[in-house]
Amino acid sequence: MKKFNICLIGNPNVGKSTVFNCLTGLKQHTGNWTGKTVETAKGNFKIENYFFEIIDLPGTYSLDAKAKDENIACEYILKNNFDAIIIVVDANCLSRNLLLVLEIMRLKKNLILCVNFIDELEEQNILFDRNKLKKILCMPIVEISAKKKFGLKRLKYEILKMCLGDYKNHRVMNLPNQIEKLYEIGDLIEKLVVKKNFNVRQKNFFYGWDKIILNKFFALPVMFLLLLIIFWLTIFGANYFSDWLAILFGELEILLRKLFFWLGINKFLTGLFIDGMYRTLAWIIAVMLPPMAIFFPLFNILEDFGLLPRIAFNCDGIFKKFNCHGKQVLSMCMGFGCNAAGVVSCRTINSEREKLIAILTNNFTPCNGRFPGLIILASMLINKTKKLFLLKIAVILALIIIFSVCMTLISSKILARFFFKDRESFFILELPPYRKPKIFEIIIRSVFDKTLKILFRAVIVAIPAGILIWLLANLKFNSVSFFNFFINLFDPFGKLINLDGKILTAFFLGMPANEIIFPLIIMAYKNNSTLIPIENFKNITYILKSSAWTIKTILAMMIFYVNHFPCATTLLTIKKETGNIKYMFLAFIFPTLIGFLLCFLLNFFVF
Amino acid sequence: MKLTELKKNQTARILFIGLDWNLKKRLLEMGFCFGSEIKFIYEFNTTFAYEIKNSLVALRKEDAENIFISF
Repeated sequence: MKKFNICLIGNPNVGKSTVFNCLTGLKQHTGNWTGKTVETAKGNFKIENYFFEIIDLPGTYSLDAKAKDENIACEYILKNNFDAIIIVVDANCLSRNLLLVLEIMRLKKNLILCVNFIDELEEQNILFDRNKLKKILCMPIVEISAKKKFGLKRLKYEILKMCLGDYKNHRVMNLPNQIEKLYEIGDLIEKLVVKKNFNVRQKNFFYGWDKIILNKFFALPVMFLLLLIIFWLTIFGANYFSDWLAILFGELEILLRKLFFWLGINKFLTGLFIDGMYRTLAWIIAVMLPPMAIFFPLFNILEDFGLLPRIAFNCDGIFKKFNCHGKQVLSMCMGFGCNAAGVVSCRTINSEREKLIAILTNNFTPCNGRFPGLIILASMLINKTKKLFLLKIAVILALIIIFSVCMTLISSKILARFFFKDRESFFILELPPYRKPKIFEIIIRSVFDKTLKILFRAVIVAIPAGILIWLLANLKFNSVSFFNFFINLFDPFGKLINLDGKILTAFFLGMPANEIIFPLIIMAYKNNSTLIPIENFKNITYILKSSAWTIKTILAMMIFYVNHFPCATTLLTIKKETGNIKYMFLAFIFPTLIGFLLCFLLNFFVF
Repeated sequence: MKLTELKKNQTARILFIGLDWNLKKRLLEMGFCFGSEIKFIYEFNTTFAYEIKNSLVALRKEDAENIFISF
């Protein structure tokens, strides 16, 4: 049976992904901000007895785009042939959307125009003349409201008709190729097709919430408060889940051990698989999964609501002073969830220089994998018996976040000064109207899209890492294990910056995933040859306190924990995103140097 | 007159964009072509938001200064 190829294209934020979800039922995540679909999404569906493969392309304003995510769309549509191309347009701003439509009409056949948000037009009492538009553009036109699931049957019917070749006289149009000319045409068409009634009830998409969010005085505090609430929910919610997971993995380990014993597997292999692989894996999952499962849905709700572009708008003024782009704030926020995801989200920044800066500095924001460690460090600074324990920890964490934001800005400035001197920069951003977030869909989507994906990547790195760590700790050379060899090697460097060889070794071995840095440190201090069992998650503070860390060590540790080389996944993502191995090394060396320098300077300030 | 001279909630028409092609093209895509109506909505620090063709677009001050308008 033949499979028909169809694709969805349109301006950013016109609801392509929602249409895609409605057609495939595959609930791809949709966000209310430009450039959500950073990669193409594929899905299959069936109408009657015909099979269709549909591709959802990232939004683009025209076919000659600058930003990487838009470029994907352009290249894709120019290079491939489709049985049908569905162009989704926003009925609210038809003339602007028509530019892309006209551009595609010049190059491609088999087009279907899909006018989304038609319900919003009705609410505003605006009349839309479909038949006229159909006559002008000579293509089938479907009015839909993807949110209210209206018009989708009609769309499917048109797709089927198009693919079966019922619209034979459809051909490429001969249109001028200057944007200005196309715009004039677009404007003219809109005037002919859309009739505003005189008693227009102008619905204020923008003004309601913006009074608070874009207010001179409230904007920044409100934003900061929102972020704090998200962090608070993430950290304290994740705490419970982490505990449960730790207990679960502990029980599972006992069972596995029994199984290995029963199977008669020798000591070496048992050590390799259970003490090495399994424990590393358990640590990473127990520490990483819960915060991520909470953070990403919360973040995505803000995204769906339309708040994120406004945050970028608010921050651009400050960020510009440090030679970065307002949208960098979004990749930073994403970086709080996972640095690799943060690096990917830099794609939406459309000027090359700012994008590179954002990618290289993303690591300065502590990700969810590093947060639990920071909490441990914070709780070591405070006497647990004293009052307001939790509040003090929260304050210290907030200070760390502020510190990391400052570091991001300062290092962006340094990078802009010394590495990327003369590349253009500009900031143009569409602020979409607020739309009600679809909470249930978001939760499901962000779990499948982000959390599981990141977890999967982490697991892939964790397995070889676990084996390597165990081998290093257990294989001996001249009766010194490799682990101890490294400790002795790094010790002088460590001492120089108020840390020691054990901690530095832990940082290097923790490169596959920062979650295991603390277990590694404890392993080094207790002179064990395996990571501590996962049940001891809660006791880390007590074990570390007994290892005679001074305030200086804790502070240096905090600094180095925020400013050090990114984890392996992030490094690989950076290489993939920039397409240049040079930037990967820069991303490795630059934060590490800064961390070393700051820790060294600590010698002169803290006694 | 420059786009930045527009007062809040005031409407004008675009005459000319004095910016390099990359940026100009981007603005054109957003609807900043000759004769389109533009309305100043917000400013925050040195970033400005304008309503154009039914959508809200944010610009930096230095870019907005090179866009010329008339009533």
